[in-house]
Amino acid sequence: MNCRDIDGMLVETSMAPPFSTEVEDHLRGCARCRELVRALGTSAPADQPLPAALRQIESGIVADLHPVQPMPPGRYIFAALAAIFACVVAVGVYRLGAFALAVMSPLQAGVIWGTLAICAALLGYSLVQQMAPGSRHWISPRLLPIGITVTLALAIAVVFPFQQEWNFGARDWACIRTGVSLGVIAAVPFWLVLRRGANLSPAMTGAASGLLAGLVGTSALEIHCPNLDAWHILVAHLGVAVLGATVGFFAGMVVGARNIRAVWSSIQRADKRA
Amino acid sequence: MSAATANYGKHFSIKPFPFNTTSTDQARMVREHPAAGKILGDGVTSPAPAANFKVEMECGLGENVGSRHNFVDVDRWMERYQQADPEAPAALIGALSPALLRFFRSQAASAEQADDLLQETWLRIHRVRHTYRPGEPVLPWIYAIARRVRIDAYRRMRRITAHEITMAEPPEPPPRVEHRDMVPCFDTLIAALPDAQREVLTILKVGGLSLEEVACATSSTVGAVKQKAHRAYERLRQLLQAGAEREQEGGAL
Repeated sequence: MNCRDIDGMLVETSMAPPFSTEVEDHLRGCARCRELVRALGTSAPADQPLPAALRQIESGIVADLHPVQPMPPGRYIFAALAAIFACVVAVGVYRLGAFALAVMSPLQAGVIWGTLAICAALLGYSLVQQMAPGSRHWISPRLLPIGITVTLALAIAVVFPFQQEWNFGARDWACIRTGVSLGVIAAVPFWLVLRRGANLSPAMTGAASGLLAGLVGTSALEIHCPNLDAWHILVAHLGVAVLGATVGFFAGMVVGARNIRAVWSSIQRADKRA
Repeated sequence: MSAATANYGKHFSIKPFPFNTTSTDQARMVREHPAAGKILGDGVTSPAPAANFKVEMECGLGENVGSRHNFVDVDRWMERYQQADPEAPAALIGALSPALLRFFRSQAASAEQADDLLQETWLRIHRVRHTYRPGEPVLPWIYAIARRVRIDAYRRMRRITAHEITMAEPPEPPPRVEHRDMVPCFDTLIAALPDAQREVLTILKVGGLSLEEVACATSSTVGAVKQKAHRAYERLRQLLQAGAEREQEGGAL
């Protein structure tokens, strides 16, 4: 038994007497662990909430008490997000045409579409988890949008050729306009689904939702646009997703500030009533 | 296994105990919020007599981990809260507020700020109560909301203090009571830790959540929580050792 084992025990369980023989032996010989266990077992007298304050909170809540329908299970919400994504991409490709199918090699098509599908699925799952506070996250929701953008940029850079003479032009603008339009069309039903959630961190949720809506545009462009220049795909296709994430982030910040103001005005109203 | 004492592995024996409250505090809480008696303690019916609680003032934090096992009914109360049972808010507020208040206090909030944060937390819980999915654990859901309230309040305070001009020195905070030959208490000890480590340690030890639940509450992974806790313990060891060395030097002089 060493200090690391004691740490492990403190992390995994609680260290409360009676200790096992091994633990006692170690504590007898190790002053640092002995002091740590002793200090962790010494708590200051805990502050108690004032009964009047609790009554005030309770009365505020009871005054506004009405039955609510719990959120549906995460898989239904995920299915709804996936259906919206697929429908908007399908409608977009149907209207625009699938010209990229004819010019992409199987490797290019497999890599870019596969990466887009995996990234969209991960983002959708993360958004579903963000809707319910205290849900488990396999990847940090803060890092996921950045990770997805970098992964897609790398995939594009690896499988598509960079042309020497590339200038930002009308074709790029056309792709950005088309992608943004599809993103906006997808953003509305996404918002209708996601607004049921808690959205504790509106800026983060906004960035992830914006990125997902932007990925709808990027995916449709990857099936429609026959231009295989890596610069064009990075700027005019992936740029749509990045633009969506940025707009979503700022929209989330505005919503967050509004929510905080609403909570504070509720508290002030409750104080006045009290 | 008796109802009052649960054995966890061969090393530990934990008495169920709802936070570090005295019998008087709990009796008062139950008097003020009779429904809280239905949650606190094993098999206690409303209103719960104070004598039914296992209380040891010096028991420290070990028992807090056991406290979570007293909250099996909280899940049911939460479902009743969603169905607009008028008794449910009182039961939940009475049972969970002491731990939430302690969580805010340990995050360097003043008593007044902690009261405000508690109030704001319950208002947010009320607003988003539909996002709790019946059958899932309540505590990570509650702590995730409380944590967000604290972060928002911190940002708000930072914005305000950035525009404030200090007119006078703030009064010194009252010193924390320390027991047993000047061993610093848990709250004093963790005050020296970085925010993220302090938060993890507080939810683990004061809230009594498991590693998985802390990971859920902090939107993190179990590995990251474990790492933060290990680092926190290592830092605490260093602080305690430095304190002991200073004391020895002072004694020698």
